[in-house]
Amino acid sequence: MDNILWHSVFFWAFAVITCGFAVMVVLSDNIVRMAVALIFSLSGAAGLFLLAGADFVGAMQLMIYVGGTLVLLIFGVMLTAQGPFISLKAGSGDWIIAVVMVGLSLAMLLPMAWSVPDWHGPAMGASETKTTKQTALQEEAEADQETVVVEHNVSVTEIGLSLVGVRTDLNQEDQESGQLPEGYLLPFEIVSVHLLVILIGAAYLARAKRPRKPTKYP
Amino acid sequence: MFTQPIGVAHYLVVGAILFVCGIVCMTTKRNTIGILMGVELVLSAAILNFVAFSQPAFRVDQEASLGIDGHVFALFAIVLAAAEAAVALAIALNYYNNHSTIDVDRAQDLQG
Amino acid sequence: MNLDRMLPLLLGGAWLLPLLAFAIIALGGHYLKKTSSQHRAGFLSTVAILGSFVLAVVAFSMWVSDQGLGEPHHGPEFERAQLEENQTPIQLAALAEEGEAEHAHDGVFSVSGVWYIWAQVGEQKFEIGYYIDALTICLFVMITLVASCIHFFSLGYLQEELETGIKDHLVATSAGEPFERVGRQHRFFQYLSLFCFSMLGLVLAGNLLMVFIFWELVGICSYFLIGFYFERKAAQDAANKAFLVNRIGDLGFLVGIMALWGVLGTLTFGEMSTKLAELAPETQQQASPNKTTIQAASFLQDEEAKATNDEETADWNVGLLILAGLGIFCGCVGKSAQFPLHVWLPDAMEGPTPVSALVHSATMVAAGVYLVARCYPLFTEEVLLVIAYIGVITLLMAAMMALVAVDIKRVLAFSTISQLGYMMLALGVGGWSAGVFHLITHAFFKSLLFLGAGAVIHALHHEQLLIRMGGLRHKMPWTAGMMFVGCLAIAGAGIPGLDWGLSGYFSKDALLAQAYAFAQVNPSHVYLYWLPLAGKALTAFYIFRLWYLTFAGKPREKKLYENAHEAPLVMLIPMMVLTYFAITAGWQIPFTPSSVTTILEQALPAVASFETPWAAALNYPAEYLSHQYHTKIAWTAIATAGTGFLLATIFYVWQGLRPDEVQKQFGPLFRFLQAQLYLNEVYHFLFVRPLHGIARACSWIDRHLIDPFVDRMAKGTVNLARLEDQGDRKLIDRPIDWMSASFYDLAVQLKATQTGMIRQYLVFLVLGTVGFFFIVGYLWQL
Repeated sequence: MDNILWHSVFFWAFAVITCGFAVMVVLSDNIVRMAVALIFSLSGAAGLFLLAGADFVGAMQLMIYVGGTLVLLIFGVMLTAQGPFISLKAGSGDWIIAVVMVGLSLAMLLPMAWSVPDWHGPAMGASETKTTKQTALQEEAEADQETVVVEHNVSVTEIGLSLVGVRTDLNQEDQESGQLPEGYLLPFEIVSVHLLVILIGAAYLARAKRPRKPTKYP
Repeated sequence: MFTQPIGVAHYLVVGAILFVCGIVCMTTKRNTIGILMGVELVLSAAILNFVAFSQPAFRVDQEASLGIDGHVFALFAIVLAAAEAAVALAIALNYYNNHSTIDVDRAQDLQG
Repeated sequence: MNLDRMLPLLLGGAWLLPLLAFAIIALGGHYLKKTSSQHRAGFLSTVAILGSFVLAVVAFSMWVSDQGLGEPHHGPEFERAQLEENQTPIQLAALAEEGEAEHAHDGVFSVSGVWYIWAQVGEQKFEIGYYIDALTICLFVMITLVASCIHFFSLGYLQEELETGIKDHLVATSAGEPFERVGRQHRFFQYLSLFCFSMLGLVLAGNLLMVFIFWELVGICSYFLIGFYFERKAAQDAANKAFLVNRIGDLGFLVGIMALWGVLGTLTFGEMSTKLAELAPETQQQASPNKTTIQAASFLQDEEAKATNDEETADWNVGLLILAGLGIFCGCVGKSAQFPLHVWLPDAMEGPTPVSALVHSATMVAAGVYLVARCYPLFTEEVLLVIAYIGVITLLMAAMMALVAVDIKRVLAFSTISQLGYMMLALGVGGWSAGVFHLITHAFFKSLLFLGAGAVIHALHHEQLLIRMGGLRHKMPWTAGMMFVGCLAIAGAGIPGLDWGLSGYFSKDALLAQAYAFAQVNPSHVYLYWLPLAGKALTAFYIFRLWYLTFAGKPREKKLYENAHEAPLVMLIPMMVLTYFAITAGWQIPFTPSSVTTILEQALPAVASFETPWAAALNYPAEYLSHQYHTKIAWTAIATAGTGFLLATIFYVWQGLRPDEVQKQFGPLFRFLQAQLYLNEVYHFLFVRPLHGIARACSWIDRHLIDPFVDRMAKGTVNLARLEDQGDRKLIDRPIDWMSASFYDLAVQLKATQTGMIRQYLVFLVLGTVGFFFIVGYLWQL
């Protein structure tokens, strides 16, 4: 009997949460319930991020998606959910199509996911390497010293530096060969300007329309 | 089940389920906001895959990885998703204002 | 004082000043007119020509102080020789040789140079240069003086051109009312300035090519000025006629220039004499071993020289030289209105009267005479003889036509032609200085006469017919008086005993004396003396006829007479100046033995006459030899002129003879003369009609031979184009149309897939992607 890997336990827990609430989003007809289910689903996804060592991305998922986007969605729901529009039911023909698509997509995606052996996860005991684990869940790692999983956490510092153009994860040889470390300064700038434009555009589109007063000409 | 370590494939499966849920959500909801929610699900699935591929510990050889690139793209995707949500909501609101409905099936102005 | 440097500077300045005025008026004349109530353009021109005059006078005084006034050739031995009336020609010739040895002057002093080389062909250069000798200076002074006077006169004469609305009664519009136009005084002065520039340039020019250029320039100015009232049909025709007739002469001129180029290889005046000397050294040395030139070819030319003539027959250079001389003279015939080409000058009187005075009597028409004088060394004996005979024919014919002319300006025009004939005659018989002298005196008195006529016309509001005038001396005493002086001058009045007279007396005297001397030594050409003498009587008759008809007797048209008035001062003062010169131009300069003639003789060219086999040997008496005949000739001339004057008085004052009766008596002759010898008709028949015929033939060929061909070509092209059009439509358009139509159909069918349903699109999208991956995966596994 192998040791229970708490990392795996939490993964399954979050995976169930994420997928379950996602299915709830699909199945629910009430828009308000859908919004609530989506919150939980995305929060679960954030948990999965943390488990994958992406602390910063997970935090962002919580803050931006759950805190920002969903609030926005809920605003939309509140502004439009009136009477007949709270639940709009699709026809059963749509459902059949949806089921066919689900079948086809999963038939394609799941074999693909399992088709690469390298992706199956580290084999137990295969590696002798022991390194200090730096997971987000310290206690879980300490309790399970025997696991050979080498978690690699990406710190905020690294992401921040790469966003302004400095790569800390590239090895020295590449830098000596004369190639400049390639960061994300330009995409970063483009995205920021893009966001600005989008926000202005959104504000413009969503502004309250006042009926123009007819101009009186003398 | 709980004794096996988690690999990329597990994450891909979860992502696939999320993605399929998003697609179905988009196809079956007649509510504009519902479609938007489906979009969010699909994006979330994509981000999950990015993150999974950037963790070397999920591989057998523990090497091939997107590394920091995956994180950065995940961040960009989140940010753009937020922006997209804002614009899409604005469009939805305008559509509601103009057509007094939120049903996308009645938005057929582009019919050929 | 450095003549070499100062003269080109002064005369060049005098030459360019009118050009400056012309440029300013041409570019800004509109503004000059607009911004001033008075004739600013006119003043500008006048000031320019006055400046030229001042510069010319300065140059003249420098010349005189440097070169002196020239010595008269009346040596004491000739006073004696004058007494021996009955010399044989042989003795005369011997005398000539003797005198020649004494007078053989060492060439003509001249200042020549080059300002600018504007083309170079091999070693030959075409230059903008100058050639200044006594002739140039005298003509400069004369031209600028006369031109200044006429500029002033024009200020008054063209006063009405300042108004904005001028009614031209000679032009009728279709409505039958007089044509009304805007005054254009500035344009008149613009042309006048251009003319002065051209004329001075013509005199100053250093080579024949430059002369030709300015020759054409004065021609075009003449064209402009004759056509000043270009609304009138007559003025248009006259301008065209002047221009075209001159073209004929200029063609000859051009041929002459080319021939001369072929013979001498140079067109520069300064080099001509040396080149000529090189050309025929043998003849000259054989004929007169001790002299460089053959002046006054010896009557006793030895037989040896004649023997060498045969050898020279082969020398075609002499033939070319004759051609050159005739060609250049042909140009002069056109410009100076000599016999065959004189027809344009009477018609040219359509221009404003000051123009007639300046361009068509004093300066431009004299340019021909000037050119003959300038190119004098080039003319062989045959050419000189041609010149003399043309001159005689012209002078007599024109004088007769002047007898019957009824238009005051036409009388003067014929008179001008006649006087130009006198000048040509003088040059033709070897009287170089006599001819040029007459040119200068004629310029003064003829421009005076023209200005007088202008004053009369001005006073009578553009009435020009003599038969409608009369008695005007009461209304215009000043004009009448000054014109009388002019008439006396042209008739050559003087007192032979005292050797006193008006300018015409001296010049005509010198001229006739030379003709007489020539006739003495060449008995076969005795008419060259008698006919000009007869012409003198005619001159006196027609000019006094003009004066009597205008000023004497009773007014024939009361209305015209009542409205007549004396000319304003601005017109009278120039006439006074000209009157002064018309009187004194021939006089001796006080306290010296010299006169204008002696100054001119400083430029007397050496006559290099080539012996040619075609003409019988001619003898050209040196001019100073003719002085011995002066007194005798003077008495004769005065007698003939007096006869003419008397006849005119009998006809028109005492009414002793009735002109109309004479007219009836000599009806055919009268009509013949009045029609100008029917020359216009002859030319019309000989040249204009054939030309029309040729033109018609060309037109017929064009219409019936070339046009159908072109039309057929065009039709063929049209048919070809039609064919191509069909091909285009059927071969190219159709497939393209079919393609576009099928694409359209396809698009219409595809349109159905665009349902506008978002969710449907999504389904397509997902199914497409999934299908794509399945296919790729399937293919992968293969």
